[in-house]
Amino acid sequence: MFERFSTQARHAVQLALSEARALRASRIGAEHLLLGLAHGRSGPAAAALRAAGLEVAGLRELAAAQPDAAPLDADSLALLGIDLDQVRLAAETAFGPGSLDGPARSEPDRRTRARMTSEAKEAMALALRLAQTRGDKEISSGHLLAGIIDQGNNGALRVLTAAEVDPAALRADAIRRMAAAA
Amino acid sequence: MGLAEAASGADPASGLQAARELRELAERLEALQVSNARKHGWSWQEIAFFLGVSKQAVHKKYASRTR
Repeated sequence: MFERFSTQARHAVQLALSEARALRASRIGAEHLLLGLAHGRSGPAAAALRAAGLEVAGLRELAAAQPDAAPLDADSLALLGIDLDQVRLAAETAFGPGSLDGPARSEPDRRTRARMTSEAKEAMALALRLAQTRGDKEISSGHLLAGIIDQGNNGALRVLTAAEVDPAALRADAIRRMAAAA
Repeated sequence: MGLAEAASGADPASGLQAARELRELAERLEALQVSNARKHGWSWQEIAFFLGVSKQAVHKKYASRTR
């Protein structure tokens, strides 16, 4: 899949791995990809992120505040008659606060490799699809940013929400910059 | 919507999502219990027996996450 990535996009993915490690995450999530993109010196994604007032340090802080795993959906579980609050209470009584919210952060996963969350993988697939739809030869950082936003439910979007940035406007800006660069 | 409707798949989207969340919840509970069992000195063999899977399967899944 990576052979069609532009140098910038490839670089962003490598940096996402470094960021995931630094944040002691067990996998590379969309929020780490977003951080990787923010590192870029040029290119549509980095430019759009900067124009939206987002820089690496601030994004990293917001990403660090994210739970390591996507939150469980209490409403869906309620459909099955499962009270997530009750389950959480039981788990936390036995194993401590936050025990149900994914792997413990206190133990860094030294084995964090190029493993991505399913959301991050979906985002990459959507970036590829966007390039195909547009007839672009390369998957640039702009495609990657659009893919992350199009995926619809991931850590990057939660970071953007926390930063009070409108994902749709950010996506539109990145696409506009891709067109300008082409 | 109650259990019957969700499980019978009247609405595929909510039924599928509910199944997915249930799987995720089960995964997290299993991880918690495996980690706890290891802390109590249980062997992978013993854990595998109670989970109803092979020792290899449980070791492969959790060895890197727990001590």
